[in-house]
Amino acid sequence: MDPILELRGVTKHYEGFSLRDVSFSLPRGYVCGLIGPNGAGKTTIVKLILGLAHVSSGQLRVCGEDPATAEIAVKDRIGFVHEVPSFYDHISVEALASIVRPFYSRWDQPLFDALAREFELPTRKWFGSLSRGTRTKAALALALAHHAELLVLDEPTSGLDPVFRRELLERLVAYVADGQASVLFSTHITSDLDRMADYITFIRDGRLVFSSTREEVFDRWVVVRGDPGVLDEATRSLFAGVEVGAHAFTGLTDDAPRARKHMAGRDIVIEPATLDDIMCYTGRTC
Amino acid sequence: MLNLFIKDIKVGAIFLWAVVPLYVVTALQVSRVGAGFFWVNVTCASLLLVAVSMLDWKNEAEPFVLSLPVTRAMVVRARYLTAVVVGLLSLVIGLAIGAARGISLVMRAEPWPRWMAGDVGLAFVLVFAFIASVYLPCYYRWGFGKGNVAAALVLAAAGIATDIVGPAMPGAASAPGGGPFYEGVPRGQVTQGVARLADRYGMAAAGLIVLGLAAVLLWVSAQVAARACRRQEF
Repeated sequence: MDPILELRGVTKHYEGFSLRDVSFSLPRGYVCGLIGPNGAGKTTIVKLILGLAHVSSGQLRVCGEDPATAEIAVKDRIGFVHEVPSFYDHISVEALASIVRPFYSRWDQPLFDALAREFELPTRKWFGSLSRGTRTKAALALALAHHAELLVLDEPTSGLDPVFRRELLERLVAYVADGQASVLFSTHITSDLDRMADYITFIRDGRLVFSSTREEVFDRWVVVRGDPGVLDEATRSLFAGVEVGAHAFTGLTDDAPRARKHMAGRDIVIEPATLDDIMCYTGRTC
Repeated sequence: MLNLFIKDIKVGAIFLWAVVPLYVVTALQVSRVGAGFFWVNVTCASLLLVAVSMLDWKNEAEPFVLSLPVTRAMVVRARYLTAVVVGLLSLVIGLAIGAARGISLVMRAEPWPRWMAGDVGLAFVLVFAFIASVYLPCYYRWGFGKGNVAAALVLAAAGIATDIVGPAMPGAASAPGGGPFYEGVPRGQVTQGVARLADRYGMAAAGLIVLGLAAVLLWVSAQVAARACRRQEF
């Protein structure tokens, strides 16, 4: 089956920033966490998928189609939740749903009503009067109510309370369970992805660092801690990033077996890396 | 496109409730002094058009609109349709107020006002089509802030140019300063030009010419605006 999202050598140039040669794909039925520090290029990827920005070169396919030539068909199958959902502040959630409804071929009003009840949305209140978390819930209800095949979420959890945040993550896992839909979840709160993401795509400085299954990531990437005295040039070359303190160093490597072999017998500790570790230490050379 | 137009109307309805009553009261007062009423109508219609675009800008709603299953060309075309409807709405309000003023004058045994006539209505269509044709491409090319400045500069330059160039055109010798033919016609080369056109070829022919010209203006402008919008990144 075709992947629901596929980027091949996608490049996007802005003044002062470029997304370069990014390739990854997302099969149907999975959640992909798109991680990276601020300014890495996550939002640029989201904008390219949604057609809000144009690809400079490379190929982007959504649901097997090129968004540039099948724009309406592609967008009909995408649900989008922005970090700070912006609609019209003087429109109620109910009115907003009535505006959005006719655009989607598979809009499901009973589902929207059920989601609004479940999320306890004040549907008659103006959108502008809602808290950030409630806005996100409203945006999520709109995105889910048209049976999107690809849900694109750009930092959706940053304004949510812990209870709803957990519910949201569970809902997303359930959403992809039938194997028909997928979720691209852009975030820098990596703890959201630790349990739910099937794939992790890591972007840094506009370049793809890796895109792998979560198991591969946690198998390959380890953190090595030890006395700075054991660091020599050969040891340093093992690490994708290393931070040296007064009494200890912390190194990150994506080749756990090689690190274990090379540093056998030395006074070091090797631990599985968290996504935070990978984001923080990659590229660090001090 | 129709759904986008309905979206514009639903979102812009707040202005209809807030602005239209104010517009009616102002227009009623201005209609006492005659021909200036025409330009109040044109200004109110233009402000309504700007207000609809302002709502997108103020709410940062473009990414939301463009993430819906629509193309950018559809978004632009829908906004032109909104402009046409805003223009027609303003024309209807203007005609209603003008007619009310005319009837009140006739009831006092005074003549029907010259500015309440078909040729002035046609001039309104042409002037508003020109304003929309300048404003919307500027908005889609430069956004709300810079776009408004650019459009205002172009429209001001066009207004000054017609006032300077118009009287110098062949056959326009009697135009400046009015004279009996232009008495009561709202000031401006376009209004007086349409009045002369209607006088020379009849109202039906003038109507066809003016509506055709307005349609061409809007069509060409929509192509330019769609191209500008396609290049935008959000």
